[in-house]
Amino acid sequence: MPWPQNPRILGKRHPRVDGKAKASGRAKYGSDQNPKGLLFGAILHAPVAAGRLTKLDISPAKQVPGVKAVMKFPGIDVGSNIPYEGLPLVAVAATSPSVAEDALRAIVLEIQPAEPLVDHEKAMREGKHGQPNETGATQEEVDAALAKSDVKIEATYVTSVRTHCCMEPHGLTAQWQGEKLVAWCSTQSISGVQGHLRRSTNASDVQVLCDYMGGGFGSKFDADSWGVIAAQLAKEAGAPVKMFLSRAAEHHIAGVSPGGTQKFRAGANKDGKLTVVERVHYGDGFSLSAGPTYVYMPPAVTRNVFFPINLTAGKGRAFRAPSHPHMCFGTDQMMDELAHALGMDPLEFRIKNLNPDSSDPTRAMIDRTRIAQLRHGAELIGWSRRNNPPGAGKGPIKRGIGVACHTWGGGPHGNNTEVRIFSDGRVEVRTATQDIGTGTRSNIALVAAEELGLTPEQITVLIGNTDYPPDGGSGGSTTVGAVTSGAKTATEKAKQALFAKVAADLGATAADLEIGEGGKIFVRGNPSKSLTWQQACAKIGAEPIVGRRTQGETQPGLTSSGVAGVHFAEVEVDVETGKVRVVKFVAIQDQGFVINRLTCESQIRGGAIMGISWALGEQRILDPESGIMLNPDILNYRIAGPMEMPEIVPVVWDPPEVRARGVIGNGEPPVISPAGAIANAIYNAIGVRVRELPFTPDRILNALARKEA
Amino acid sequence: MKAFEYLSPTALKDVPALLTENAVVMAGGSDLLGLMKEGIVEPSRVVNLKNVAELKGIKPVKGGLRIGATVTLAELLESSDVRQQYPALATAAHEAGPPQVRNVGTVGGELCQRPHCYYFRIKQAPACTRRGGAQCPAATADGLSKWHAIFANDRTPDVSASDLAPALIAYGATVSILGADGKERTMPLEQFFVNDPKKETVLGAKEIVTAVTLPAVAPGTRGHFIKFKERDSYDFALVSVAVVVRTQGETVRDARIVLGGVAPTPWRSQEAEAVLVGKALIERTAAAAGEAAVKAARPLKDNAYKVQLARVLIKRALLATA
Repeated sequence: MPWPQNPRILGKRHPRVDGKAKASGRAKYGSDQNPKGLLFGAILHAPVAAGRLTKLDISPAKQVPGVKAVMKFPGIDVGSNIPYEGLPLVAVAATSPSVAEDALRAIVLEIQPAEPLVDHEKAMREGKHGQPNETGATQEEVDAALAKSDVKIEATYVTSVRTHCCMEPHGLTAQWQGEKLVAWCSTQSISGVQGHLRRSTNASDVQVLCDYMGGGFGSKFDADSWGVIAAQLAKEAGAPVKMFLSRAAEHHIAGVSPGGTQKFRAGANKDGKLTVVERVHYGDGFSLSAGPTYVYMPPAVTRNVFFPINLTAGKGRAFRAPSHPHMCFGTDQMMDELAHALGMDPLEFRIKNLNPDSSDPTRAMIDRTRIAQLRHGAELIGWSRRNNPPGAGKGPIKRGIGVACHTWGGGPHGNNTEVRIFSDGRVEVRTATQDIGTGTRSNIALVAAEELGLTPEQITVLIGNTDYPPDGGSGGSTTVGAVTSGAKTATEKAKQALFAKVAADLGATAADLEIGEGGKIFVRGNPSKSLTWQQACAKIGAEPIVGRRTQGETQPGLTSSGVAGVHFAEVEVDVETGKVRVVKFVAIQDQGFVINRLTCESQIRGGAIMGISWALGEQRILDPESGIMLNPDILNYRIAGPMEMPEIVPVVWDPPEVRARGVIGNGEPPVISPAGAIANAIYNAIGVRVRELPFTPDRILNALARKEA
Repeated sequence: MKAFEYLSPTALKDVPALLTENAVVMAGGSDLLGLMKEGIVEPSRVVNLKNVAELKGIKPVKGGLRIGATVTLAELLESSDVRQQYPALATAAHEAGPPQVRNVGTVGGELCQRPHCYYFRIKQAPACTRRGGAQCPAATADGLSKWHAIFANDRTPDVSASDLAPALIAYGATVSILGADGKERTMPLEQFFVNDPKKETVLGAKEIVTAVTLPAVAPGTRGHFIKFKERDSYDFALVSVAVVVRTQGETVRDARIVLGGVAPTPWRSQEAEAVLVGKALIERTAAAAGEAAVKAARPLKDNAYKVQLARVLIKRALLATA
């Protein structure tokens, strides 16, 4: 049962089935749940970046009128080490948020501060790093290969730390129903939260609910310590407890995309081939997952060295395509610098270092795709208009164009789906997945509707409840592949069962039946022998027809993994003020077989927006002396707004060869390349390489001033 | 935030008596509430000024305008008198915040907003002198001074974030203050702001701003305002500049150039003004004015780029009036 060659509705543009509910506010999120008798949770966070607890008395908090429960977090007591700012110390549950705050203020807390470590460079200088991990060639072999190369470059690229800054904060509302625990959670994995709460409480049963959630990006896979303590507070208080983090706590402890430093030494020959690439990188939780050439063919000599550093600051967590944007930022600038050293067109240099003829069929396929994407993107952005030489042009406003490439996996996680067809014609699809925001409900509805000849609105999709057949977490861009293949198989089985039920009425066998527009069931080759959808379903009886797909059943061709993407950025740089504006952005992405072109484009746009935001402004700023985060808010943690956004041209890349691979998730890949593409565009505009993110006016002006000096 | 008593008088004469120890006044609240939530300001009493009739409205006076302290930024923008006669002020009002802030934020509040330096606003960070610290952390060897002052930065070098103030000062506005004794006094707005490690304005604990008054605009006057932000969608100024220039024929007769974001107070550059008077406003003189303005700049460790910004923004604002 492969995907249809000529789908009726799949691959076309469809508004989300829950779009109106979301836009009108009828959609209820975890943080909207207010069960009767609700108590409000609040957390006392460590107010220092490093230190030791010398005094902690929670008894005054218990005396505050309206406080129903007070608890230390596990392992927190006098003598506890404070490893980073915001560490949760004590949780309270009270009748109102302000009473809960009063209770936190009543807690007696003393901390002996210690010296924080917040600077990667300082950590390296002072040897405060872990054991380095080295792979590939030796330093001497790199030296020798560089000496023999026609050109070589040496450059250091620095990426900033981004904090997870989901629109909806992390948290849940916990309610006990006897020994059963019910949790309304903002999560990208209801099964992960369920498992976490099962392990961490003595509930006889745990049900996790999440109809809608406001962003996860890798940071919402489990209940978190504050979710667990909310359940424990609810148990102690005998009332439901709502516990969501403050915006500042989101910045401090909800997880970051670690940043760090990448030092490259690389060489190439006049034929345009890489000869040697060495990458020495260091940072806090910064280990880069692919080799130093990232998407490009590694030359004979490569060397990769990583120094782990443990800062006194909020820790890394998966963050939309973990480590890939950082690798792209380093490697794609290194490629650009080598192309310039060779005097080659940077686009042609990239193509020279891909391998469409690889003996590895996936590599060959992805590189073939990538080369076609590069050629197409060059047309769309007007690559021939790029500034030549870089920095040319009269007046203070310079324009430049840059490119960067990325890859990602995808592939499905395990999924169970159940489809029920009722005698009144209703169709329900149940699976315990969640919509992280990518349009999962709509994807499931579209697949079932395609299979049954119905419209997506005729399908009721039930997700976000752990009582449904199990599904995995929405991570690694695995959800669309998992749930669409599950929905496809389960619906196909239900359809066959319905055929079996009505075949005799049509004087045929189930194998002779087909389904057409409007759900009309007819005998193949004799369409006059038919039943309408309603007529057919009327024969079902009291018990619905059920089609089940279990995790073990996988079907080749429905899903796949491994994608290519290419981004082109056109920027305008004001060399008198240092202002960078991205004016046009072409984002080309392959994702196999497309389910919904509209939400697919939305993912590509959203990725571009998030990547541009990093390039232009996002960075965690830590005070060098105290280690305290100086911008734990949405004013000074500069997420881009509408004025920062360029014209974005999303290109859904799905020629027949790509479609034949089946569905591949595209939640992550489109976020990878923007910073690298913009970095290269800035160089093309002003002829000066700015190697540190984000590209704020001071960085641009300082780089220009260094060039003049 | 901590619990507090909330009062909402309707007559101006009743206000001074309500301003007891540890009371604060509130208009739009867009600045105050953030400070209270963070625990930087913990008043026992909040006196709402939005229902005080005398503080509302924009009225013509002597060819100019009297703008009540609780006029919102949105109301300022909607005034055709402001837009036509004081275009630099209209731009400043538009730039002062996104629509949500403009709808509640007031003229008095915008002028009296507290500094936005993280060492002041973030309670866990090393303490600013404005909340009891001995020394400004930004001025120390380890401190981060990227957003700080390049002029008058030898004490507490945070910056005046007001967008209205440079424009109002450039138009020669005065400010009216109601004293504890119930009497109103008026002074040039330029003198309202002070470079002091503890406070930003001359206002005493029991005093409030009641209005700002703009004088009539002389014929041949043009104004322009530029706010340069790290993020255009919403941000405080890295550097802002208001210029008001009166020309006669080709010759500049009067010029006022006032910068924001570069000093603990709005920063009027009489050096730049002097370059222009008596000359034609052309690219060369505009650039010379920018150059003259930054001659006295003494950047800190991280903010030399602001010198360049001030220099070029003055030039561009002047040329926009030519």
